[in-house]
Amino acid sequence: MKIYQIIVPMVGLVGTLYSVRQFRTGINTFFESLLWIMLWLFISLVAIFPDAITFFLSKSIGIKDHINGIVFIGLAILFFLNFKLFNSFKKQNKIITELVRKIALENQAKNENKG
Amino acid sequence: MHQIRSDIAIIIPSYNEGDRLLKVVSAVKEKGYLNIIVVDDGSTDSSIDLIQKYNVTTLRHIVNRGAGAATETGLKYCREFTKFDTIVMIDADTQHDVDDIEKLIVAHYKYGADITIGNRFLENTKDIPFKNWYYNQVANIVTSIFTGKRVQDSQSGFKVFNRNALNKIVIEHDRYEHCSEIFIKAHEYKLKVIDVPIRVYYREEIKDKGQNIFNGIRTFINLFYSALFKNK
Repeated sequence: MKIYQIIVPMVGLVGTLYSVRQFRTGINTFFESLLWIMLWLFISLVAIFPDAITFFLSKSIGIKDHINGIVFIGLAILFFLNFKLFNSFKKQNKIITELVRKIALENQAKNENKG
Repeated sequence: MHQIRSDIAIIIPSYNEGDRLLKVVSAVKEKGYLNIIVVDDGSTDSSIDLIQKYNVTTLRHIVNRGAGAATETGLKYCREFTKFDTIVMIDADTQHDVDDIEKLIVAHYKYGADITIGNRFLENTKDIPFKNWYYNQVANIVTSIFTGKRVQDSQSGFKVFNRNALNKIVIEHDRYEHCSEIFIKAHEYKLKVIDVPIRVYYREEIKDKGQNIFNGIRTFINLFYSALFKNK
C-alpha cells in the first residue's frame, strides 16, 4: 500500500463530512451535497483500487487505454468544479441584489422621514 | 378629469428609458392614479431627473440588477411599507396603453382574481414583430411546462396583484425569467390568475429592447437550475 492510498481516502472522508455539514446547515441543497459525496467516494475508491477502477472505467466506457480513464475523471472533476463556481456566482449575485434593494429602500425611508 | 385612485399603487420599473418614462408617468398621473412607485434600476441617463416634478416615490438601485430585481424592489416596498390592496405593474417603455389599467382593474375586481395579466396575444397581434412574437411563444411553452397549465402571455410586464398575491409571491430571479417565475409561484400557491386583452405598441426604438432568443435560453437554464437546486 502506498502513502497516497491512505491520505486521499482520509481527505475524502473529511470532504464527505464537510458536505453533510453543508447540507445540514442549509448552505447546500440535498442534490448538491449528494453530488459532492459521490465525488469524494469516487476519488477515494480510485485511490484505494487504482488499477481496478481505471480498468473498469476504460472497459465500461470503451476507452482502450486505461490512462484515458484518468483524463476522463479529470474532465469530470473540472466539470463539477465549474458547476460549483456557477452555483457560487449565483449566490453572490443574489447577495448583491439584496444589498442594492436594501440601500434603495433605506434611502427612500430616509427621504420620507425628512419630508 | 378622471376619478382619483388613491387606493391603488402603480409600480414602474425603469432602466435608461429617457423621456419614455416621463410620458408613462404623466399619462398615469393624468388618469388619476396618485401612488406611483418608480424603481430606477441603476439608470445612467436623465430619466429620473425628468420625473422629479411629478412627486412620485422613487426607489433607486445604485447599480443595474435587472427587470426582475427592480420589480421585486417595488413589490417589497408595497409589502412592507404600504397597505395598498391593488398593485399594478406597467412597463416604462410606452409599449402599454395606460387606458388599459382601468380595464385590468375592473376585470381584477369583477372576477376576484389574485393576479390579472395584461395579455398581448388575445386580440390584435398583427402589430407585434415576428421576432417578439416568436420569442414570447417559446417562453410561453417553457412556462407552461413548468406550471403544467397553458400560459398565453408569460412575459407580459403589465399585471395586477392583490394583497394576497403580493404577500405570497417574492420574486427571486433578477432578470426576465421573473415573468415566468410569477406564473410558477402562482400555480404553486394556487392563486387565481386571469387574462385580459391589452393593446401593445412596439415602437421602432423599443423593438430591440428586452427579450430575445439569448434571453430565452438564459431564462430556460435559470428556471431549470432553480427547479433542481432551489435553496431552502
